[in-house]
Amino acid sequence: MSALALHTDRLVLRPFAESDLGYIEDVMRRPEVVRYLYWDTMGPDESIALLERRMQADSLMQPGDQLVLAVELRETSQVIGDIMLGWAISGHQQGEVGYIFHPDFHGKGYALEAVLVALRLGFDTVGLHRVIGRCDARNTASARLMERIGMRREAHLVENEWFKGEWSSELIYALLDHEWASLSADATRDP
Amino acid sequence: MPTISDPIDTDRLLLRPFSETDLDALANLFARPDVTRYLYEDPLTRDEVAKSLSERVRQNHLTNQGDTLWLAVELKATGDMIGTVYLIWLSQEHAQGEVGYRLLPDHWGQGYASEAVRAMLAHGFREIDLHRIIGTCDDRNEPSRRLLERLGMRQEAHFRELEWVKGEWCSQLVFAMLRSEWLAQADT
Repeated sequence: MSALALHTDRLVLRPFAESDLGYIEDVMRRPEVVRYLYWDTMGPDESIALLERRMQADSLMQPGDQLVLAVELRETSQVIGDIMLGWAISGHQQGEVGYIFHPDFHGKGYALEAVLVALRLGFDTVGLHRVIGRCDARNTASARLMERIGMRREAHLVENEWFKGEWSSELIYALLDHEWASLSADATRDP
Repeated sequence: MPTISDPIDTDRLLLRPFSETDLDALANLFARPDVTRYLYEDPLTRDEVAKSLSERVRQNHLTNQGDTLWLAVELKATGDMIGTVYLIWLSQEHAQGEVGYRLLPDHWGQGYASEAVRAMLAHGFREIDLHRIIGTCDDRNEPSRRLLERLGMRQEAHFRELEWVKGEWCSQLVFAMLRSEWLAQADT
């Protein structure tokens, strides 16, 4: 599938555009945002390069592709985060979801709303069998989000990476297609 | 220049690089359905094994990240090759490795695999300063799971249905041991 705009109650998810540079700069210069990402705070040049990569990640046509969408508030059109869906190259219909949100918009359920869209895309449109999400073991907010969605904690890899000058551990959460089917069926039943 | 691994001597075993003369024993090992049940391959023909043996003979060192050291497991008492054990250098930056093993079923249940893998863990932690070594197996592979537990490795992951192998979804266990844990174990 290639990118289109997806709507939820409060959000619009759509491909990144040149006009999103302000958002990228604002979010990537914040130490608390990049704390558990594989890069440090970014200056203007790095932000431009990241935006270019985001703009190119606009479709999921084959294994190895990555889709990154800007998450916009419907009401104000302000970009508040971005969401990633990767199609693993392994050839076993596996995928991965990831997310970054502006700290001013944490705690309002926006990330959860956006991740559910990414999961629906992965399972219902791409036809993935399993989708994982990963986070640093210290990133409790991220772990809680995946638990709230109903993903299963499948791994706690102890000191599997040397990360920003120290050993770090990783959590991996996962959901299978039939589990997703029953989750979304439950969601439709509940008012 | 790769440094070819010296043979590793344990109580009952000699772990040594492969040579072309191992073809019969290796063909015998990989012809067995009970050996390949939870591997990606089906039982291999002698020709297929001959091809992989030339590869194994060359994989006798750990010089760079990505290298795999394959050693033949030889029973000292008889000189018979009864299996193989390997160590993969997964990552230099993160100092991670992975051990694996295949043993002829006639020799299961006598602690040979434990003995061989224990020696490979020591090799990885001592010789290439690994920080963490993992071992993986299919979640239905009871003997392998028990072996990794017996070695004192911790179960860190149970990945559900992450691979479609031999006509079905397969789940995987990941066990791991840190260098500090290995040192503590070696002390006692």
